[in-house]
Amino acid sequence: MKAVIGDIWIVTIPILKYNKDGEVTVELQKRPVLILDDGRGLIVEEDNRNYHVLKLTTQNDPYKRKPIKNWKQLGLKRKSYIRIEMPIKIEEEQFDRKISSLPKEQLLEMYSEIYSILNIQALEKMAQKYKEEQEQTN
Amino acid sequence: MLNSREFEREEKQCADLLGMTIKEYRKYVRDTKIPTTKKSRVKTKYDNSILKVLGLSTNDLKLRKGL
Repeated sequence: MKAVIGDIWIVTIPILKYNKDGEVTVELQKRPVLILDDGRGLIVEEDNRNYHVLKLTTQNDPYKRKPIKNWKQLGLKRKSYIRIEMPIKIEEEQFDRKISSLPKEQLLEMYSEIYSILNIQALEKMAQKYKEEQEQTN
Repeated sequence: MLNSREFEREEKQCADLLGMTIKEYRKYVRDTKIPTTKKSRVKTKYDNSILKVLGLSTNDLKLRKGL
């Protein structure tokens, strides 16, 4: 079974951990994530290998967390929230198993939240400036 | 990057999310194995019916030429 947009899957993620002496180790974490892009080109250019996901958490921070409605009916074990932040890239080998699929109306809300934190206007301006400078050079 | 306390807090969070005790969760992580089968070179066929629900069409996808 392949993960697709809107699915909630358990994935393996590497985490950097440091101790009080500043020594760093790489640890593994397994957590549920929401699939925003399954490589078909929805929020990031088409890429057959990579997915872009948002982490689920049990911690509620009203600023950057969106609650998942009907979490119990969706098969989640605890009241869960989606972390609204830059999506992280996950490769197919990091997927473990599927938990559920987020209903479409909630999924649309998450995309809207991601759009609200990105500075699309600044990216557009910089792309335009780069284009103009390239045209002047050529 | 997490310090030891933050890491343990996240471990507890992940265990809770998965309905496991810390002991069960740590064993689950330790037993991680990744598939070693060769990656398919066949291009994935997507069910794009979800795009309509999101107010989009296949024209809105950012496709890569030659992929």
